[in-house]
This record gives sequence, C-alpha cells and structure tokens, in this order.
Amino acid sequence: MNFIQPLVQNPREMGSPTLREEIGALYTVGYLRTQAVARAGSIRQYWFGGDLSDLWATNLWPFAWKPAFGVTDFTQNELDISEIDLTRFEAFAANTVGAYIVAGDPDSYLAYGAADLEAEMAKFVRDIIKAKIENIVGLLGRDYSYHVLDDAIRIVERNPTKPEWALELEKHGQRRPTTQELAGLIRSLKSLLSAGDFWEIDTAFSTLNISNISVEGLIALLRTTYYRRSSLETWTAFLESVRGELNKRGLNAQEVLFGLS
Amino acid sequence: MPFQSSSTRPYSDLDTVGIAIRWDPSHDQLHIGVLHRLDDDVQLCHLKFHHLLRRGPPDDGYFWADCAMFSGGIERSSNGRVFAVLISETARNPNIPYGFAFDENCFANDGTYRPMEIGKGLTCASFVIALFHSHGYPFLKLESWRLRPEDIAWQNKILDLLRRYATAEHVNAAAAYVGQFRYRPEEVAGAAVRAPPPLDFDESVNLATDILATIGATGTA
Repeated sequence: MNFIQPLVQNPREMGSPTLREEIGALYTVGYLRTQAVARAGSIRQYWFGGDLSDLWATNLWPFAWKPAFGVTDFTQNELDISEIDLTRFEAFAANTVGAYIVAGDPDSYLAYGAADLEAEMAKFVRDIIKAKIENIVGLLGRDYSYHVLDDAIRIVERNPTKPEWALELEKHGQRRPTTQELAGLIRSLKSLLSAGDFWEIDTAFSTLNISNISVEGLIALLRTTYYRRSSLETWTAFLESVRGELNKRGLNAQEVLFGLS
Repeated sequence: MPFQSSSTRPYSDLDTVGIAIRWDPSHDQLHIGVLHRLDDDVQLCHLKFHHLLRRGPPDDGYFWADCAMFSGGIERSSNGRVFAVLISETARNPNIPYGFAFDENCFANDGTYRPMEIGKGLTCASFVIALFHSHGYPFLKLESWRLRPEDIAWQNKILDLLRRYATAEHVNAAAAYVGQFRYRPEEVAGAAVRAPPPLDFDESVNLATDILATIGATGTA
C-alpha cells in the first residue's frame, strides 16, 4: 500500500484515511495529536500523535522536516532512529510503552514544503512508527493496543486487569466511604492524572461494577477526572452508566451530577 | 439558609461545605472563604492575599451559611463530602497569585492549581468562584457580570497594596487588568449558598444586599 501519495494534499479535503482509520483495524486508537516542546539548545522534542488531518491543522513545525532514514534495532525500552536523532520508546509501566521523538539541530534540516512535510510525516508515522509498534507488540507477545495521550503514544494491553484501587473501591460496596478512603481514592486518581496514565482510569471506568460503589465513590471518580475527560475515552460512557445506576437506586441523578456533562 | 454569625450558629453546625464572610477592618473590605467539613473537623480555606492561600480552623466573627447545593439529601451531601476532600487537596499549594483577571478553570479537578499567565490572579472572592467552577460546580453566570466604576477604584487600591508583596513583574502585568469585572465577596457569598445554581449578576447583587444588611457592613470597599 502506498501510504504517502494520498497525503500529499490536505487530507481533510481529500477525505483520505486518517491514521486512526488505517490502523484502527489492528488497534484501538484514541484521538491523536502532536505537540512541540522546546528543549535546551537547538534540540526540539516532538511528542507524536498520529491523525494526519489533525497534524495538517496544527501547524507545529517552525522549520522543515528532515526525512527519516535508517532505523536501528530497538529493544522494548528503547528505539533509535538514526540521522534524525529521533525517537525512543519508554517504559512507563510494566505493560506500557510510549514514544516520543527528538529532532536534532534544525539548521541541518533539509527544506521541505508543507505537502512534502506531510508526506514525510505520513511515511514516518505509518512505515516506521507503526511497524515498530507492531514489532514491539509482537515482542511483548501480548495483545496490545495504542493509547494516545495528550502528548505521547502509549501501547497498552487490550485486556488488562482491573487496577488495585478499583478493586478496593468495589470491595467497599455501597457503604459510605470514610473521609480517608475518599482522600485515598482522589489521590490515586490525582497521581494517575499527573502521570498522564489515562489508560488505567479508562480501564477502571470500563470494568468497574458500579452497582458495588457508593454514591460518593462515583462522584469522586467523575469529579476528579472531569477536567481531563477529553483524554479519557470512557469518561462520557461512564458518566451515563453512573446516571443510570443512580436512577436505579432511586436517586436524583441530575442533582448528583450537577455541572457535569 | 441565611448567613448567621458564628456566635449565633457555631461552625460545628456545618453540613458539608459552606461560605464564610466577614468585614475585615484592617483592609476596610469584606473577606470570604469556603468552610468545609472533614469528619468532625471544620476548616476554612481562603485566599488571604498574594501567595497566601490558607486552610485552618475558622476564626470567630465570620457570618456563614451552608451551601444549599451541598446540603440536604444524599445527592447533595455526597457531593459536599467529595468536594470537601477536593478543597483540602487544593489547599496544599499556598502560592496562588492575587489579581483581577483569572481563568475560571484554574484548578484541575484533582485540586492542583494550574498557573495562569503572569499578572492574572485571584481575589478572595474569585478564588471561591474558581474553586467551585473548576470542580464542576458552577454557581455564577460569569458572562452576565457587569463592570462598575467603583470597582476600578478598589482595584487600584489593591494594586498599591500588591506592590508591597508581589514582584514588579506580577504587579505591572496585573495593572493591565484594572477595569476587569469584579466579583464582590458579598455577591459571591450570596450566590454560592443558593440552590439551584447558577445565578446571574442581578440575582447575586440582590442577595448581596441582604448579606450586607446581616453583616452590618455598609458596602464593600
């Protein structure tokens, strides 16, 4: 398949397949995004997301992009792409890896027009990153999927186990949690949000047995994560599940969930 | 629930979350904070001034009322219990800048303050707004607010005070925001305790009149 040609023009206009669509058959992909982060000296770091129509719109590159050349071997924890000084994979947790890209001295870049740049991005994302992620998934020997954060791609297990804190929450049932238990839950969520570990929260939201959770527990889950709901694929569905559960309990869901949408 | 003096109604009567307000003679203005209960412990979280977010047992002399949105049935009190914990988490960082313009969602839902650009900051009243709104409890229709000429005089007075405590960079940048809408403590107090929220400018101003009468203050400086 020629990945480059359809992306030489603006993919929005062409309606060409996005990265999400391209690899969606293989993996679950969240929204995709890139961010440029200035670093010391002339080095720039790019967190890599992938939806090319979004990439087109972001206009993040202050200078032209140099084509990616050879790719060295990598391990689970590290991937080097030579010449462009790019990319390593980073183990965030035992079963989670993410990618970011560091571009070297901008003065050394070859000049590229926007369309060429787009094509290079397409090539890079699809031919290299995708292949490498697939290889990593293969190496890990598990069923993994992409999880795209604000600022990185993560690869995660497709069928992960429920997090400990979620199990703990269920264990309490509908009993009113103590203040300490509430604080503990909020701190666990806070820590995950700070680390950008949205996948674990998504996992909890999609696997929690909410009929076993107190009203306060449900409120804490939703209110603490509300600010990052756009990063959580399951947040809206979880909100609706909670609404249904509250109704089932004969509570005024609108009042409990006031301000949340 | 009307505002009552702590000498009439002790803070221990607080349900989950409430608003406390009092006249501060040393600065010739009203001051507002958020009362919240963690088990038997009632605390006041309030922005005293630049980089002075404080949380501790409330002093005597405040007039206070429960927030109706957090008081009553399990739907409201459950939210109040969770919000009280979130408030206590917010207070871990005292370094909230003082200023006249602010971002409504400057607190993440985990209670973490998200720094705004230099010059922006909160007042004791807009701290209360930001705290509630950031956590998904909007009680004011901010877009309905109006500028009043006397608010500019107040902002200039505060700017002079700010020069003693904040960096020149912050003060100079804050000066650019003189003329922003001011959310007065008594207006914020009135709206925050009412349910159902949110209230607009006119409703809040009406409620503020009653609060000023209760407190015995003639107006806000």
